[in-house]
Formats: sequence, C-alpha cells, structure tokens
Amino acid sequence: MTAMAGRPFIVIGENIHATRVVLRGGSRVAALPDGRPALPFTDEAAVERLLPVPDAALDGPDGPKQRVKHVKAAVIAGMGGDGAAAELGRAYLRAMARRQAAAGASYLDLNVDEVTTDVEARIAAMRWLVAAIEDATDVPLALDSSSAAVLGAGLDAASRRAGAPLLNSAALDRLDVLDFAAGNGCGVVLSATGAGSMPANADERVANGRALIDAAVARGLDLAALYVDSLVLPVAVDPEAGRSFLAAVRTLRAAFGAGLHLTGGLSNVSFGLPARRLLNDVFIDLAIAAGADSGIIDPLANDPRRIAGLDRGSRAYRLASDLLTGADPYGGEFLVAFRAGELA
Amino acid sequence: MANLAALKEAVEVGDRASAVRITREAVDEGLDPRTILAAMTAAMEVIGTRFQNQEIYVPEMLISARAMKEATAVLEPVLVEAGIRPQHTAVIGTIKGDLHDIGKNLVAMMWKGANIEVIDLGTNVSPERFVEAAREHGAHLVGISALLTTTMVGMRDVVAAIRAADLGGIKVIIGGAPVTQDFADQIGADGYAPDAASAVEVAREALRAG
Repeated sequence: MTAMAGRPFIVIGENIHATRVVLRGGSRVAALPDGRPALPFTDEAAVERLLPVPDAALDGPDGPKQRVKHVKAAVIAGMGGDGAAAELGRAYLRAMARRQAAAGASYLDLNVDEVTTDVEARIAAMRWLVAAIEDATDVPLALDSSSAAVLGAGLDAASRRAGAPLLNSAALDRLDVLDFAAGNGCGVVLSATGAGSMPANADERVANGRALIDAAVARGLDLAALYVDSLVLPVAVDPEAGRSFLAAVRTLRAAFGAGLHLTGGLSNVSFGLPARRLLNDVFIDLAIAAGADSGIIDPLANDPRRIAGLDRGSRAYRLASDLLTGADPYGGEFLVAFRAGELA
Repeated sequence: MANLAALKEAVEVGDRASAVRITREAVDEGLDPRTILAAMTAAMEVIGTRFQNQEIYVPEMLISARAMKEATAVLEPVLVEAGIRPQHTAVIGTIKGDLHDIGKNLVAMMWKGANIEVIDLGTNVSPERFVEAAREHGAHLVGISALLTTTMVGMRDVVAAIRAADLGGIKVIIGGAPVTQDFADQIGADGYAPDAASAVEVAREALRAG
C-alpha cells in the first residue's frame, strides 16, 4: 500500500526535448540514397515517412556512432527549409506528441533550449513548437526552459485549448516564473536546485522546496498548482542521491498532505549506468511509494502501468533498489549481475 | 619485489587496498616514482578506453580514479622530494551561473588520472576567476563545463578573457551536454570534449598543438 495509492500518477512526458539523441547506425536512424541520415516515423495518417536530418542536428565525429539530436532536427526542418521539409518536421513532432499522449502523458513537456545558442531564436522556436503541436492531442503542454523569457514566449503562444500550460520550472534564482504562473493561472514546477549551490542532502532539498512553496503561496498560487521537483541526481556519482530525493519526497508529503504535487526528473537517477529502463522503472516505483504523485518521465520508455505490475520480490528489483537507495554503493553487485545477464 | 603489473590491475578494478599496498612496497624498495606513477596512468588510460567503448560505466571509472588517488597520496612525498611535478597544470570549473558539476568532476578526475595537475575552481566560476587562477598556477589548460544552454553562452566571455590576459599558449577545452564542436569553433576554444574519457585525448592534442 503506497501513500498515494489510488491517485493517478501525473506523467509530465519529457521526450519532446531538443536534447534528445539517437545514434546513427541505430534502429532509429535510416539513410537517404545519398547516405545522409534521416529519421523514419509514422505520421498522423499512418503513413511511413523519412525526415532528413539537417547538419546542425548532428553532433560529434561523422560515423556510425554520430549522435543525432532528433527533436532538434525536426524543429530546424519545421521552422526553415522549403515547404515540404517544413511539413515533415512538423509532422514528425506531431507524431511524437500523439505517441506520448497514447502512452499516458498528462502533459507534453516541450524544451527547445538546445535548438540554438541565440536567445531570440530560442524564443521563436518555442513559439513555433507550441503552435505546431498544440492541437495534435488533447493533452496540455508543459513549457520547459532554463530561461524565463522562453517560458513567457511559450505561454504567450499557447491557445490553452487543452488547459493552461504547466511551467517547468521556477527555482530560487528564477522566482519571476512564479509571477508568470500566478498571472496566467498556470501550474508550475518548483525546482529544488539552490540559489548558490546544489542541495547536498534531503534536508537541503526540503528547505529549498519549502522556500519555493512559501514564495508561490505568497503570490496567490494554490498548493494544487505546485509540482515540487526535489532534484534527482545520478547514483552513479553519488550513492546517496536517490535516497536523499526519496527522503525529501516523504518529508514534503508528510508536511503538506495530499494537496501538493511531488514530482522529479526521475530518469536522471540512472545516468552513467546500464539497464536504465529497469533502474528507472524501480525508481519511479520507489518514488510513488515515498509519496510522489508525478514524474517528469518518458511514458514510452517507462510505462506507469507496467511499473504498477512490477514483481517487487524479484532479484532484479532488489538489485536495482539496492543501487538506487545506496545499499549497493557504486553498483558493485548490480553491475556483476548485469554482465552475467541476470537482470533481463 | 613490488609488482607494478599488479598495481595497474588494482587501479583498473578499483581495488584501493591493493593499490595502496603495492605502491607502498614499491616506494620502500626504492623504485623510481615515475615508473610507479606510469603504471597507474596506464591503468587510467585503459579505463578511459573501456568507458568510451561502453564496457564499463561511470561508477567503475570513479572507483578506479579513487584507487589511484589513494595510491598517489602514498607516492606524493617521494615525488615532491625528487622534485618531480606533473608536466601540465589545468584549472577547471563550471561556467558562471551553472551549478551542475557532475561532468566537470568526471573530467577533473580523468585529467588527474592522466597525471595532469588539476586546480578545481568548483561551480559558478566567473571569467575573472578563471583568468586569475590560470595565472596564479601557471596553467597550461583551462577546462570549462556547462549543462545549461542559458549559461553555456558565457563560455565565449571566458575564452575572450583568457586571450586578453596574455597567458602564453594556454589552451581552453570546453564540454557539457549542450556544447558542440560547432560552438567550440564559434567561440574560439581550442578543444571540445564530448565526454570525460575523451577529455584526456582532447587535452593532449591541444597541448601537442603547442
């Protein structure tokens, strides 16, 4: 029995991000007759299509392991190029939005920060992306940027046909985002990154969360509009990181009751490790047990319905859970089991 | 006779106790400290390659680096006494406004593993502090890391400040998730490292270019 049992888990579908990478030579990237990479996808009319990748979306040395920023590729194609290329870029993103919605996303999280280094161009990209996909699904948008100006632009462009966008995120050094939220009837993610340093433990996460909640409430925002992100950091570099996050979630849930949303970028926890799907599934399960009712996750990769049915008595679950909670620091046991093929 | 092959092996598997014990034996036997150190840097080179090939993962890179760090602490007094210092010094930090230091810490670790002396300036480092520290320590390398696109643009200011400060042939290496080779070229950085393991080779190439 979990603290939040019976409540729907709110998925902030994180996949429409210009940061997202697929590998050339992998199954997600095809080649055009001239050898240039292209992204295969099925559009809204169930037609198989190919989106050519603009050079600006390629990263790293040419070759089979070259990284392709696929969302960035679609945004660049959609915003520029000729009519046909632009239509392909738009169709690619709308198909992504529909897949996220079908997989159970409660919000579609849009992030264009890596499309360009130019702030004005980034603002234009957010405006374009909001308009391009907003009517592809009935799911409201989450606008995601480390820049308040980009969030403001997305907010301005949103028609709100599926509801007010969620703003991702406010932080102690980005309190102006709370003003946007209060002035526009939006929900808002409160990121527990500190003003001058990252929180080192559960207490600092809770203190940052509380300070943000106070600032939000002082601006007239309801607890129900707040999604506290207690900051998930990788256990690969800090064995305590997962436990600290979970402890902060438990503390905030106990302090504020069911009225407040508790979320997090839960897949960060498995950075630098193999078997990420298993680790993320188990960490989502642990977060829900601790009192989280939301996650900034990719529901296609980590389906909450599958997670609800995980076998918590299995060896794989225990090994993952031990690594995630610091009982198997640096994953000595986990990695041995992974290499022996025992986590499948 | 201290077994340097076993020392290399101990660092590769992250066995701190053995790495320290063998290093102590080697020091007691009067082995050339440079030879002892070379066994460990060779191990870290293997670790870097395995990491790039996705044969090992971040925690394993970390425990190898820690084993080397503890063993190097045993070696340190001997190196100091013999007047042996790393050939190159680097200052490293995250860009102003950016508190994300995981990538920076991994690069610092791998540079240390390659016997580069690393002065870690921490997070949220201003262009002035990069310049001051580079001057104070006579650095050959400056490493700048950013996770956020909003802060990444500040790397241009660091490069400009370094160039304006007349610090000789100092090389600037940049990295972090949103950083690309294109961006490095645009701002006039000397190198772009897509990950911690490749940061070693990128640094060596930049230093070789002189």
